[in-house]
Amino acid sequence: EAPNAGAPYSAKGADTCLSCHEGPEVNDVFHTAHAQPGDARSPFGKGQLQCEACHGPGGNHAKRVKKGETRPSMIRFGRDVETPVAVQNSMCLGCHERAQAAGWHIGPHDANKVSCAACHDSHQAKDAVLARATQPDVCFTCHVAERGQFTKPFSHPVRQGKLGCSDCHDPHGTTAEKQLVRATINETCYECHAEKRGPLLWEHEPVAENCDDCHAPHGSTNPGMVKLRGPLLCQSCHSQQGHPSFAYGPQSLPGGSSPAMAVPLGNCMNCHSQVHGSNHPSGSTLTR
Amino acid sequence: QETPAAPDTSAWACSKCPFPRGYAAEAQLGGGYVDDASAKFGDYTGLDEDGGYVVAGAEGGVARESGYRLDYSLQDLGLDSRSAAIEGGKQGAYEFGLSYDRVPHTISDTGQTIFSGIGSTDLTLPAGWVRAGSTGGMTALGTSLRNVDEGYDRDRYGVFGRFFLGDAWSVALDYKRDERSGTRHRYAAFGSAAMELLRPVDDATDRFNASVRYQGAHWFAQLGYYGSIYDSQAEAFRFENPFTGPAGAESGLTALEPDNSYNEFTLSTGWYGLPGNMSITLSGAMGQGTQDSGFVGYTINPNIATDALPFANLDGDVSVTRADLTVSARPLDRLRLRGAVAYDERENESRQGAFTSIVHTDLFPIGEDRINPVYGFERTRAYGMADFDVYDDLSVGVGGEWRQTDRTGTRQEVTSEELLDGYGRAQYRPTGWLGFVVKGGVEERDPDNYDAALGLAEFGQNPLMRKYNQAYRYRSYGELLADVAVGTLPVTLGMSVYYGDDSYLQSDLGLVSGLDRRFGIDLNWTVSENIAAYASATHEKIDSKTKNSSVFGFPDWRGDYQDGYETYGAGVTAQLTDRLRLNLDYTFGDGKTRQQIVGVAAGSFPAVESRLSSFKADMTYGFSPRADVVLTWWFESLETSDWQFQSEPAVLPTLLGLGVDPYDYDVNYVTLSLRYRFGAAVPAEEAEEASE
Repeated sequence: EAPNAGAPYSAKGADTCLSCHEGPEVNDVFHTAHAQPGDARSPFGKGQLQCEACHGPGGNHAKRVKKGETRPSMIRFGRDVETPVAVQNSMCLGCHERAQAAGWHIGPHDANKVSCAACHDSHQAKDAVLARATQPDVCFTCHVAERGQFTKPFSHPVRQGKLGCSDCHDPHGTTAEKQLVRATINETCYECHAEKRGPLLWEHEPVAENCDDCHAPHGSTNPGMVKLRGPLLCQSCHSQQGHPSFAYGPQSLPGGSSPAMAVPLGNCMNCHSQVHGSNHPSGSTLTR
Repeated sequence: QETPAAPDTSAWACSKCPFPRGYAAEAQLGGGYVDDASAKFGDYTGLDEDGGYVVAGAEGGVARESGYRLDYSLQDLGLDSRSAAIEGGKQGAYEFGLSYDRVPHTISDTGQTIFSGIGSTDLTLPAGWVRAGSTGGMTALGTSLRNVDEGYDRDRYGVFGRFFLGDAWSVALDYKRDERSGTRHRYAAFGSAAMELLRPVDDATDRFNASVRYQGAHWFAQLGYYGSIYDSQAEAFRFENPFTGPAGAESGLTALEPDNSYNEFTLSTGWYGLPGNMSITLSGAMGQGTQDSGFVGYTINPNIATDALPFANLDGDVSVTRADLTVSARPLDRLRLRGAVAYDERENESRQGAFTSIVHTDLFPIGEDRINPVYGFERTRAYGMADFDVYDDLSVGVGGEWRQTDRTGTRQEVTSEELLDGYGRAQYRPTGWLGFVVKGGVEERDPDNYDAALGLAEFGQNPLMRKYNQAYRYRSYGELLADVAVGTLPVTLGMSVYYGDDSYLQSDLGLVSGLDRRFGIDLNWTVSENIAAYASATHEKIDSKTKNSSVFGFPDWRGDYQDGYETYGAGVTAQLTDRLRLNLDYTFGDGKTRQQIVGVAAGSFPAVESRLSSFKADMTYGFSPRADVVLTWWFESLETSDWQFQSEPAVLPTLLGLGVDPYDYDVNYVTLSLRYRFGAAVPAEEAEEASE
């Protein structure tokens, strides 16, 4: 339950609060959408409850406190505060469930009791989680393993600030796998790689079904962000008689005792270059 | 949360509220220098050339109490990774925005090619080229090689508008255009001889999103349209054959990605705050993907006679149908239920026909007819979870997923499979600043029938093979998330541990096991009002084993694959004096991938290694409330050794490569710039005014 449940509201709203609370961490809120008098929906819109719209009624908090007594608390936001996450989030969802967070109740962040304030800093003029270049550092605070994955030699340009986590994932919750912004893994990849969408004359069927079968989108030590290096990746599915089922050991490297086409450079793709499918009439084996 | 009587806010004048007054902006101008050229260091940063760079950027805006605002941001204007955005509107009434972002993808600058016409759809051999049966016999190779850079730029343009019509209706329009131009490596073969080429990248993708939404008190309804149109200027690509071959095979032609388009309408609705704290959302979508680019011929080899094509284009037509339902409820104060059902269908109604004159790499007819597959699938997922708060700080839960996948028009061995996943969860948050989430579960994917005979008949596939994306798989997994946020220090610590063990128990050939272990820790410490420090470490290890048979019988070799990657990072931000601010950040990444063959052709490949060391420092000195001098230094080194990269173009007698080196750079980038704040009073000035 909120620490100030049932308390009366303050006498003068924000003017009461600002007589004690000052400094950038308070004043910056007036540069945000939350403090927009011209927007009737905003906490500082006409007739709204200003600071107490989010922090709850402050009448008791603002009263004079006798020596030795502790000042009654307000709803506070963040990871290191006593206000229960459910109470914090109910204040945000009161407005935001209408639009952004319609899927919140089905998402893993709600299931893991993550507070909105664990990611959002609504008192900052520039909320780090909303800008592509600064967003990953906020996500990496909990998704720690991903911080490492994006430093691998072959990865999407998250480290360079050209792609944010929310370009692919919707942290507010969707029914798609891995909280993706589009309904399926493939459709999310097609947002930037529409050339792979097809349909094509000769489809490599796992490609049309799930890009994640072969690629590690957060990063890989293998060219093309594949999970397993060819030819072993291809030989996890193909074992026809002849070259697909040969054992390509180190001897098959250039300079080895039995060098093979299927190992250096694009390995199997040296010949089967249309691995994502082909629209060429002679492309049935993905070579054209 | 009891809600007291609404107060009379008429006296809430907000006279002390420091609303922004007028225009405020910040601009930065200066110069930078990169001491060494590297495509990989420049990848996505635009810093691929050595030499001088202009450091320029600005951001600012104006906001009125009436709700009107206009903000702009101009970043890295002097670099090839420049971006610009402008957003504005009247909050609560309408919002609009324009954006531009260039993403330079510089892939390599150590390659060499013999071909002319790089960037075009027609690659020709140099005059005086001597064809040979092997790269060793190509006498003009040494003199014909020219340095060539590989990479392409992606220019992203965006326009959006959102309009709030009264309290309930809103309209959102969003248009994005991605244009790509440049080159990308790919391979092409003539029989058993192959080469690495640079193909043109010259395409654009236009994406449209539009939606109309009605927002009720506790429900909403939304109609949405999504369109994506891919248009390429390079749908086919011709290249001359540097190897000797039968007459007529002097050049080849391959198809590149054809134009395609996709359009989808979505209707969604939802109710929340229903009795029992229930929320329900429901959505349905119908989409259609089309692709009707004209085919090229079977071959451009004039000496091979071919039949007529069964049709001139695929008349590709994929229809997508989707629906999902989500329900969440809190029937009891301590019991939370969540569930969802999602249906997704890809129905491929493209033309099908017999292709009777397939020519292998413009060399020889394969002598078999092939019918193009029209592959589709239908997936239904149902998942849910139940969480019970045993105590205020301890909740336990169970959850699971059922998924049915049915493939249509497929030539794969499995037409239907079922996946079942079940897990238990516990979340312990003894106090606001300490929380643990522990989750463990098992998942079984079970194909109804693995029709190995189909694979044998269609492709000569070994009947013992079980493809890992369709085979029986038993997965056990566990995850621990911990977060500590000690307000008094204050320190926040995030830790995550993941363990995933995949067993393909029915697979004699193919991927037979996969083990994925990840660990990460992230510490943020606000040492004092002026100093904050952070540190992080991650460790990841993936092991997998793949079996195969070179004798088309029992498995006689196995590929063991171990991929380990570690990162360590640390940083400090310090306000050393009122005017001097210092940021330091260091990231170290160390990867080692080992691959070993056991059995036939046994042996270990050289380890693939990558070592990244990236140090960034920036120092800001504010010599006046409005002006700072900014000095930055970025040093980054990346060393990789990777047998897949071959530095010699003559890779093999039958393989002519670009000779791209494994990535290896040590680059310093230093900048000196002035930053100036315009417009409305700045905090430091306000402080000075307040103290007078």
